[in-house]
Amino acid sequence: MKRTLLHIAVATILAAATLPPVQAQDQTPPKWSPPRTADGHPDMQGMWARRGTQMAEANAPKSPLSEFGTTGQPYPTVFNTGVSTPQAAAALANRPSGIIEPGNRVLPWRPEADAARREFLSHMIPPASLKYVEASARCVPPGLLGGDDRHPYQIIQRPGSFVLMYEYNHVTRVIHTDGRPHLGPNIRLYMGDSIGRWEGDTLVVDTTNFNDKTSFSQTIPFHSEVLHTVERFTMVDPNIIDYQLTIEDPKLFTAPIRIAGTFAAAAKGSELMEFACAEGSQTLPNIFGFGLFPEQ
Amino acid sequence: MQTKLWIIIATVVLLAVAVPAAAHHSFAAEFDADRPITVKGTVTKMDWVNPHSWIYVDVKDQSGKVVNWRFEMGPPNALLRMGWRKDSIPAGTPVEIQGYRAKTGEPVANAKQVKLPDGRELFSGGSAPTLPGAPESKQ
Amino acid sequence: MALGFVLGTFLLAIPVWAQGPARAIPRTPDGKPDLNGVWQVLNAAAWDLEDHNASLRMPAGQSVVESGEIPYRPAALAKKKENFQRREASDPVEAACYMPGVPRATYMPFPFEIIQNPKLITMSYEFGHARRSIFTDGTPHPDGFPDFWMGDSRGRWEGDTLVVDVTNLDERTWLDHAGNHHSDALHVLERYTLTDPDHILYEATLEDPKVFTRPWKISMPLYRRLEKNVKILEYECVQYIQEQKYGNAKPVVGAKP
Repeated sequence: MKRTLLHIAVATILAAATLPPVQAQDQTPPKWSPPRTADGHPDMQGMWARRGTQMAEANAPKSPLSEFGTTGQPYPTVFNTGVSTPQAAAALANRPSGIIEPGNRVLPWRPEADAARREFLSHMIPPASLKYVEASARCVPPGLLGGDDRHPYQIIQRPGSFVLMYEYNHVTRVIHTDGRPHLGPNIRLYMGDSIGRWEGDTLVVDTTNFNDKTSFSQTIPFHSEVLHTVERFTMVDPNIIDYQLTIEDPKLFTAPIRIAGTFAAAAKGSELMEFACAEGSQTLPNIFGFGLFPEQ
Repeated sequence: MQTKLWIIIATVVLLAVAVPAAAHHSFAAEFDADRPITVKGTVTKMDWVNPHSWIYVDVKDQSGKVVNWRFEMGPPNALLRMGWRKDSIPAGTPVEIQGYRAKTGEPVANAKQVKLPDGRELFSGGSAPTLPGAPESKQ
Repeated sequence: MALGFVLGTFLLAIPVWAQGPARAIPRTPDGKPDLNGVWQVLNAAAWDLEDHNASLRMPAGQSVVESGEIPYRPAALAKKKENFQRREASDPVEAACYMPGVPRATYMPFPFEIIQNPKLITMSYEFGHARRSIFTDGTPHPDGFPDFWMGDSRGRWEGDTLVVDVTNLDERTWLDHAGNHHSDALHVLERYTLTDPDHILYEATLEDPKVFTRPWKISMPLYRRLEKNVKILEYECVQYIQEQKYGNAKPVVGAKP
């Protein structure tokens, strides 16, 4: 017994001698490591508020949609508490947001595509027909960039998929990480088809198979079916997921565009609530003068 | 509780500025910014529907005739998160509403501001009445 | 002998189609049955919950109502018949693509995905990308909330059965395309039991004293979609119906050509 203890003691001392220097002597602070799910990937689960991803281009044409400034009833996001400490508020405020490439936010339009969107915008107020009614007012699924970020997002992770749920328009993106291929090219979706893979602690999401029916912003009312996006989710802080989005649409733009944003932790207790869009919308009856039911 | 409430309000103001109030809806197609309106009346009902809740108000015109106006507001999710509840504004509550008339000319408008008798406002700036069961905004 | 009796009784409670050679059900790390996956019904309940004959584009069906017929109050039965007559124009799902509500969303002829987490089970329906959150975190229905198209769902496990209590259901939803309806007092209690890895026994008890004379129950199997790489696609009903109803319409106020 005594000899065994001696062996253990010697082994411990030898092991300690080979350890890296203790923290007090190390000048470099350790890189923050996120909590992890059972399969070893960063655990990003919870409620989040997305910020900063507006595709606000420089030299944008004046959009008739924003002619009246605030469109509709302004209301706040009431659930973001990532700014509950001055340090967190500062970290959040200093994050990059919006279009970061090209740096001057002048988008690399193909001239014919730029002309087409300006022509389209000119028919929107008043809308010449259904397709010229702003997409969000028609309850079109938001695609990657649309959507109203005054509503929270929820992330759920399970083996084989990363699920991003939008409260807005109750859209659910199940991003499969099980190595499966994309859908065949003839299946086109409003939300595209997303396949994810982990590169270290970053989730990289590749999305194809978009249809051409969603809009990017009030000045970019459409895109093409060849749209291809890559998103990168990296948790940098317990309250912050860094979000990078690269957009390639060779029918619209001559080069890829990169957008940066943030998912900031939302308050505990801010669960997803139902957001029923078409069910309560009076927009089309107001514009066209009739509803979908005989009584309307 | 008071301190927390102020942090929440501060947060709320921060975000109302940070997020352009753009995304959501074709205000310009439905409502006329050149036809503002202010009414005083009594609430007959509230519709807690997405994407916009509605408040119905009986308004007496100059001739004494009562017309029921319908005002479009923000989504109920925002109201619920601020602590408002289904019975927060019962029928009979007097309100003052500023808004923009619908282009169709009907007694329909988009509400810019909805003021209650004690000065509180729905959506913009007013805190919810404290009701039993109203959730604490948790940090 | 007593054991045989107990075993016999137990086997009677399991539907015949689940009494095959036993295959262990998958479980999540917290020991609960793993309901994750894509599921779909294989019946005609979406058209009509009760016994019905076929007609053009509608299959015949045997009642999924355990007592056969829905026990309406007389006035409510009259309303059902009225709904049935005008169903093409008035069914909120078929005429306007509104979210189907509970339990109709379960038996729409479209797949849905169950996304399971210890505190939350999410049902993501391909029809209109409808979705609901079933909170399994012990929280109660909130006080003073308005009604929702997909209701407010709070779940708990009773042994290996997920029991879901649904309230706050918007009174405008129908229970099927035949005009079966309810009021704002509807309370639904669902039970999801994974009887083998590829089948869930789905049961729902509906209680609505304004409309029915007593609670009544439906039950049906949910079948796992087994295709390789199966996923929920899109059925964007709202967009299709808008195109159909408004595609050629002109705005009433000063359209610019």
